[in-house]
Amino acid sequence: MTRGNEQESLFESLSALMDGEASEFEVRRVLKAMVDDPDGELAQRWSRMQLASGAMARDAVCRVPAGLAGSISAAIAEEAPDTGAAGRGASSGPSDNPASNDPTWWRPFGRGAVAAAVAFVAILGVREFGGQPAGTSDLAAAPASAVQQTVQSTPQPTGFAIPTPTARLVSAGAPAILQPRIVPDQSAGVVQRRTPPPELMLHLNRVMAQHAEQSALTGTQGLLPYARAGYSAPEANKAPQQEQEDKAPERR
Amino acid sequence: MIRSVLSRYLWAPVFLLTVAGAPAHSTEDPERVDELLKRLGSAVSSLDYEGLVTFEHAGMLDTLRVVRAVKDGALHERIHYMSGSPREVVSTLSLANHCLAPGSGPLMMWSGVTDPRIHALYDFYLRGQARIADRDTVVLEVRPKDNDRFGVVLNLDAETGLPLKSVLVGADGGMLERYQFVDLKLGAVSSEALSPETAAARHVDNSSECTLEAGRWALKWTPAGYRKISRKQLPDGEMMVFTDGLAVFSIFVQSYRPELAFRGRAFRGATVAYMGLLQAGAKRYNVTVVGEIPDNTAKKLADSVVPSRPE
Repeated sequence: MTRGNEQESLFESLSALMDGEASEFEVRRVLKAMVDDPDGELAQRWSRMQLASGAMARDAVCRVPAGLAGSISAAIAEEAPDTGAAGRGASSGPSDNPASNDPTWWRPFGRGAVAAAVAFVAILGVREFGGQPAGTSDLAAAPASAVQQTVQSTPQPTGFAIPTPTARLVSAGAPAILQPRIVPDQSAGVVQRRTPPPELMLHLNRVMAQHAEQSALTGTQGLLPYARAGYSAPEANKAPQQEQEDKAPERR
Repeated sequence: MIRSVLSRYLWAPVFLLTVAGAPAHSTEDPERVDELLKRLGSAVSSLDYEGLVTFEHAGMLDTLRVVRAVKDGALHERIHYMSGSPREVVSTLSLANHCLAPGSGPLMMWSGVTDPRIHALYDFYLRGQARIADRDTVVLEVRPKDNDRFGVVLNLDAETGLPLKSVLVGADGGMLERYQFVDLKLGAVSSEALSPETAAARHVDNSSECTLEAGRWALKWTPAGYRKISRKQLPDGEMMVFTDGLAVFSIFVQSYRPELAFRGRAFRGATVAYMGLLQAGAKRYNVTVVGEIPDNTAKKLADSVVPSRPE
């Protein structure tokens, strides 16, 4: 494969990623390419796409920090199932789930779901991270304005008013808005430009998925929690050697 | 016509102010509301259907195909996500499971709304009619009485009581998420329609017992009306689930990880995750409160986690 073709196929994979249609293999491939060449055309294109996507969503424009792809990639790499449960895994065969003595409902959030997990959590607006060092006793003041995002762009007065929403037709799995929302540190009055670490994003993704599933089991909201969960299909049936293949992944 | 509708809505708050203090059903027509809630409860635990649903939150629109059938004492559901990467969930919920109200009855979808205790937490208002998925619906607004839960606007199918649209409403009256049918086919569902299309489908069931026995953690404050309905052991901690019959939140207390040394909140649509830290004895823990609840409530909850017994 020539370098030009390879670049083109990377761009295609990037588009797929932005559309939420990238396979796990494509996600890894794009991330790797960006880690290898953080200032390359691919990384720049991603940054531009983020800007365009943010503008479409009327979000505050926020450039994707250099190195973010690297940290996400590292988090994925660390997410091998054997590391999920400390001290386990050596005794079981490669195809076994080494965490077999975990509660069953914990399993789906292992390695297989990670590529999707990154995409899944990407639509989180992480708004307030006080950035207090661990162990400090004072809580970061919670800005009163930080509330759940409403579907419409302008708040409605209280009362019975259901406005027309402004939705983009993209999937919940689309990593199109990988834009952490950072609010100023209230105490210092200084804007802290902090990127939520990928470990945090993965944790949030997990607890939200677990919460959605438990909500579904309580039955108080019918099928709604499943819609919220935006589940990813387990990757168990994907051949591991797929990662070794050196051909462009097929687009659906 | 418009004038009469307008005046009806405009006068409603005045009317409500007049009867303020009247307990239980602060609604224009309590009998009608109760009848609707009963029909809702019965519809969701007995009807078979297939349909197309849109789910919208935080500027995102997802489309889902849902199939549902009640047979052999279990609720069978299949959710096929039609946008984004192909995903599918197949769920089998035994109606004999006592998750929601341990010891008091079987699992019932939306059963929380038929529990009389819900009237202490929410007011119910009839809001006329609307057409959803080519069907006539009755609009029911469920408005919280305090700031520890969100409101819901439900469109219930006039014929069956099935909720065809559900909108979660924030404190400022803004829409946080919307779940809405665009197409509904009522009637018997074939086994094929309930079978997963792909081998990668995710399977969910409630065969594991709900445990309510006291765990390592307790809450020194719980918002009015929320009850603990299950507790799960995690590999690195514990998870507790609470509901007021409508809203649900979960509390995770997990062994401290330095990379998660954050206090703060994250949002996805109507779901908030509040992260806090907890010191108990010599050990530190990460506390995460997740739910479709106001973020300030989530923060207060995270701050009220205490050990229920010494290490």
